[in-house]
Amino acid sequence: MNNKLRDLREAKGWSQQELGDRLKVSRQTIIAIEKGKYDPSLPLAFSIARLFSRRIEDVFLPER
Amino acid sequence: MAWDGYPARKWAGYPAEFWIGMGAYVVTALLAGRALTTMELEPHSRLVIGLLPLIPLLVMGRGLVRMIRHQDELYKRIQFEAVAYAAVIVIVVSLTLGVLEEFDVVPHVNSMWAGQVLVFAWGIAAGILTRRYR
Repeated sequence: MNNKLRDLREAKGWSQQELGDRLKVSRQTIIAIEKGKYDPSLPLAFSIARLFSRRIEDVFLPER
Repeated sequence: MAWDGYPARKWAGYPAEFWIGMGAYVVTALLAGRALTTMELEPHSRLVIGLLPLIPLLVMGRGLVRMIRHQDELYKRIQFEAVAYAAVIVIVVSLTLGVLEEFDVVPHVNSMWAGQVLVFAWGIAAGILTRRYR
């Protein structure tokens, strides 16, 4: 699954660690999601979307 | 440390009960071993003494499970996959060794190796999987 997490995070000026702290996950989890190596659970995906005030489908995009 | 700042609830290492359990296991295993080799005991007493190290082992296991339970979802996935790999390795090796022992191809070996191989394989697999998700 593709996602816009890196762009959204950088637009806020947050580090990966800072975003991880806000979402209560590790920095490694943020790195893995940004690189598309790990697809987050639905609750985490909703938390991410909520944190950036976006809809979940605006953050996560299915691979075509 | 290679854990790169995770798990989310700041890495504090294994919980105290893990270390207490490990320390108690070493002590009870040594004492039980000494008692079983030096004392004249009834069979049921030998069984009770031989099983004593099981108690701190369970405490250790509880600490390990509690630690994993409190980590974030990626860490849990890594640990789950690592345990699966380790279990497959131990099952394959133990079944193969069992067959070879059954037909006297290899001499009988103490089954204590299984736990050690499991923990070792778990650690190696967790390290490899952690790199995969970077």
